[in-house]
Amino acid sequence: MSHGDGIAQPPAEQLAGSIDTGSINKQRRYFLIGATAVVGAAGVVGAAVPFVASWSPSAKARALGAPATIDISKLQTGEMLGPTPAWRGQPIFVLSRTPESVETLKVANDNLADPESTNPEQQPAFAQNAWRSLRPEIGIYVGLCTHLGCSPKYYGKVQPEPFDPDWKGGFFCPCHGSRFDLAGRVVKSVPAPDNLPVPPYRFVSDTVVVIGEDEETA
Amino acid sequence: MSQAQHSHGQQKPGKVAAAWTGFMSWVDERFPLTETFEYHMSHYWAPKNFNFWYFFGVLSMVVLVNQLLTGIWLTMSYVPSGAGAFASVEYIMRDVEYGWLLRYLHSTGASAFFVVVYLHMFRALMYGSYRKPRELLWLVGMAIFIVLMAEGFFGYLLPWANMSYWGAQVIVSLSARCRSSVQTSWNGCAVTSSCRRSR
Repeated sequence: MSHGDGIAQPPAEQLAGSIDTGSINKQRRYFLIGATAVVGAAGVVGAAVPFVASWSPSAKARALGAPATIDISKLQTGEMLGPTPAWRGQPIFVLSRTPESVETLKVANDNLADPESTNPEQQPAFAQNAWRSLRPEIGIYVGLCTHLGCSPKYYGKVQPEPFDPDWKGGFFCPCHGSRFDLAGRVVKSVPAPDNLPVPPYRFVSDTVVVIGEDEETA
Repeated sequence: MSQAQHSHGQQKPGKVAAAWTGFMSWVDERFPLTETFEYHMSHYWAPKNFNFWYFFGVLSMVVLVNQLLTGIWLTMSYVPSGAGAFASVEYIMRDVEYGWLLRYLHSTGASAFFVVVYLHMFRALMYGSYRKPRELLWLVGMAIFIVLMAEGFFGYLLPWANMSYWGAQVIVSLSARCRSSVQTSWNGCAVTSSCRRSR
């Protein structure tokens, strides 16, 4: 309809009168309004399908999320490999813990906020143990602080550090001072609310690990 | 008149209807939404002898909404750079779910926009809709038409393939021809994104 064609509106009282006359079949009117609304809603839902579907991951995005292989044959005991931008473009920490550190992790520690890893979002079921890993000596974590997503730094040595004179090794986030132990478990009273996430992973051999799939999903 | 409507709606108050009426009167107290909708849409009385030539104005609005929606969705996957544009359009056509449909809706919608606008203008010519006192209406419509052509041209450039490139070459030359005494706006460069940046 063309605006401004100067079509005069009928007088208001005439309109009001036409609404109140008894000649209106209200049942039919309600049916027509309802049917129009239903058909219109179905049309909107149908039209929304391509728009919503276009948000689902494309082949390119799915390829980015494909499992990634990391060779850990050169990983020295007590050191960390990475951060390797691997699975889904996230930095992956692979660390090799010394036998002493493995023992330290087993000892109950009331400095930790969640020593039992009770949040199932933060690790697959296989990693809900003292080391939060498949093998006690190899720890694999997504290297993003659970506070605001900075990459924490690896402080693997058992020695006094500026942020903790009684440091047993672990991760320190330089952004806001969050600390994690060598199993990625968050220390009490730091900004980070959760332990470092453990990605799903499995060993295809002694020295090759696949990130992004585990024994259940493979 | 809205008063009469109001009491009519309250004759059969279901729970949902009552909630809706309450919400709408809350809004209407603060912003004349019902009044505006009635004035421009639901009670926009038109002579009943209007024929199909009068449909094209509202159809152009339908196409406009289509262009806005599909355009916004296409920007979600488009890369606006000379190097990345064409690959991202291929990506939209092949990889993005329903991306082909969104892009065809957009490119065909652009053509459809001109079709309905030309028919709308033809109606105005045929029935003298530009005559006194509606001269301004025609002039404003012409201004919007030029904006539409510019918008169509810039949209045509976005894939940055050969047709876009040479289209840009021709249109830029057009403006240079119009003011040949002035140095061309492109400093003698070919039409490229680096040339745009260098200015």
